[in-house]
Amino acid sequence: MAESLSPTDRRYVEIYNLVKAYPNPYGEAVRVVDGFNLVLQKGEVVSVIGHSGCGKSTVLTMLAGLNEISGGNIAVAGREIAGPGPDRAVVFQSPCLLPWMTSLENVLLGVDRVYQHGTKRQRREIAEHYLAAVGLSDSFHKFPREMSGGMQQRVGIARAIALKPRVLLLDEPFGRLDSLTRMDLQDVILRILDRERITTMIITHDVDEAIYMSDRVCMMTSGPNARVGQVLDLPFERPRNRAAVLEHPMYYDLRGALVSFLEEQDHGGAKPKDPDTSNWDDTMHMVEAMSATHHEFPAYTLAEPTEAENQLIGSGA
Amino acid sequence: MPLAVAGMEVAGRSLVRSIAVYRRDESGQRLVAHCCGEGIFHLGEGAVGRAGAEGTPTIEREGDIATVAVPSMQGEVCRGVTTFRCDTGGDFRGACEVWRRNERGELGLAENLYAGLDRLEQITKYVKFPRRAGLPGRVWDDRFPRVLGALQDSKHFIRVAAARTEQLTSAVGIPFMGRPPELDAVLLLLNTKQTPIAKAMEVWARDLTTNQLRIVSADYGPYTALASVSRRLSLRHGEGLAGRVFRDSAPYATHDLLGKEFPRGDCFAEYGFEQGVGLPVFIGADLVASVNLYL
Repeated sequence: MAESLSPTDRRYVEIYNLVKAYPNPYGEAVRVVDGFNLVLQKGEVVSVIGHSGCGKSTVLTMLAGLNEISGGNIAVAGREIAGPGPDRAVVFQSPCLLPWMTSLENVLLGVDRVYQHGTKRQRREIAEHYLAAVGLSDSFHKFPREMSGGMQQRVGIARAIALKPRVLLLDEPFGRLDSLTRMDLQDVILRILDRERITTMIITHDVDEAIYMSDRVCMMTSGPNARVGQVLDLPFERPRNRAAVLEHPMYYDLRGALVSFLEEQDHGGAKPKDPDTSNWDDTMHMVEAMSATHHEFPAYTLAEPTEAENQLIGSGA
Repeated sequence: MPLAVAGMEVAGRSLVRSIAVYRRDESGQRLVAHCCGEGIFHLGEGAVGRAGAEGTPTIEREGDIATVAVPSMQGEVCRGVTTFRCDTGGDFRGACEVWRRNERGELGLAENLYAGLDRLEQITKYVKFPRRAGLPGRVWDDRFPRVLGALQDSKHFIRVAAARTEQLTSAVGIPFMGRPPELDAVLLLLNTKQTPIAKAMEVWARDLTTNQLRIVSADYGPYTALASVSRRLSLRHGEGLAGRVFRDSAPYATHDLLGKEFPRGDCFAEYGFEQGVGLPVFIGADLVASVNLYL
């Protein structure tokens, strides 16, 4: 129940002013991600969309602890992260299964490490349970070479979720799959998330996928200096029903908002400034100047209205 | 008790019917009509008094008329309240949005006035802006007001699809601080081509090198001659609308732009601008800017 959650629970994953900078060939730091702010509540599914190269996966790998943070910080359940941990499981686009192990052995690899206190039988039951949850009950003993790409990705999902992570990170998990398999796997993950209530971040290019799977969609601006452009709350109920989502009266408006955002980012936003333009904005210079200089303001006195000003009182009333 | 008393009538096609400025009197407990408007409001009384007591912008409705009450808070002290009485019926189009921080620390829509902008209204309910995101998020991050022109092409205005559909032209975002450095709210005034809230909008601030006031952010729409005459303009305390706002640390309104806005008065008159209102923007006790709206 939301009411019984502490403020820390409500702000389960906190990404504050996150920066990732890489040196360019001249040794200058280029900020790929610059000031990314996002909060995920417990059990929430948030998609991050944006153009290729904008830094979506960079944010995810920093949250996973696999990529060093250049600035800002990330906290999960109130604790700042310091490197990878079993509390955050990642599913990448390619499942990267160990080819000499069966699907069950691939899943057991992580389960054996995380559930060290359990018996061998218990650990096996956990691995089998999650393989069954992704629809692979009859493929426990298949090797990766004997499975399709979709089946391999199912093993990858089972491997991640079997660890009972606090946070599930999906990095374009369906990017290499055909559309039917993709829809099937979307439903597989949604069923698991509905049951397990794992806080989840999904990186995707696919607007429809983002809308169907998430509670919120975080739109990233194009890089460099990418950050959150806008967050869209989605009004669809859980468990999700694809037909109900598509028929929702707001579906096309929300989709349009996402698509137009991506189009704007693709076009680079503002047109080149006309020197004769009737609008301009030097605000940033002023804000920087004010930040750099402490200015003593004089004490103000409230001036009485002049006679001419008083004449206006009541005018037009 | 009416929401607020009609003040300076706005001529021409504007979402705003009238503007009124109230300033704190010597008792500190009442807001008194200043250069336009009528009456006296105790803090907490009516839309004017409530905005002054709560220190945050409020929007109240009475039929097709909505009153946007904008307080000017110098720290805990209300220096004045400016009201905009807006017509939301008929073919009037425009929007006022009050964005406040939610439990995630993002800005969500808290209060709104939409006139004839159904698509923008529908989509905005679902939109949230983290710090630095969109116009509200940038105003929050800067703790400084900002005018955005050409909304239909601006990369800084994220709801660009709605801006195109609704023919939004320009917007101004104004921060309202709670206890510094915490932001309480961002007020967005969104202009349409048909019935703008203001025909021109400016943000004035003190140039720290010359100690004079300069425009740092502005939009004049089709009134390009105003842009060129304004760009290099600087004012001293007490000069023009912005100078009077800085002199008094309080909002100021006039329908004598010709007399008050030297050397731009002729230009304002030529374009048919009749009223101007200046809203002081405080960060804590510091007056950092004046947002000037010309109607």
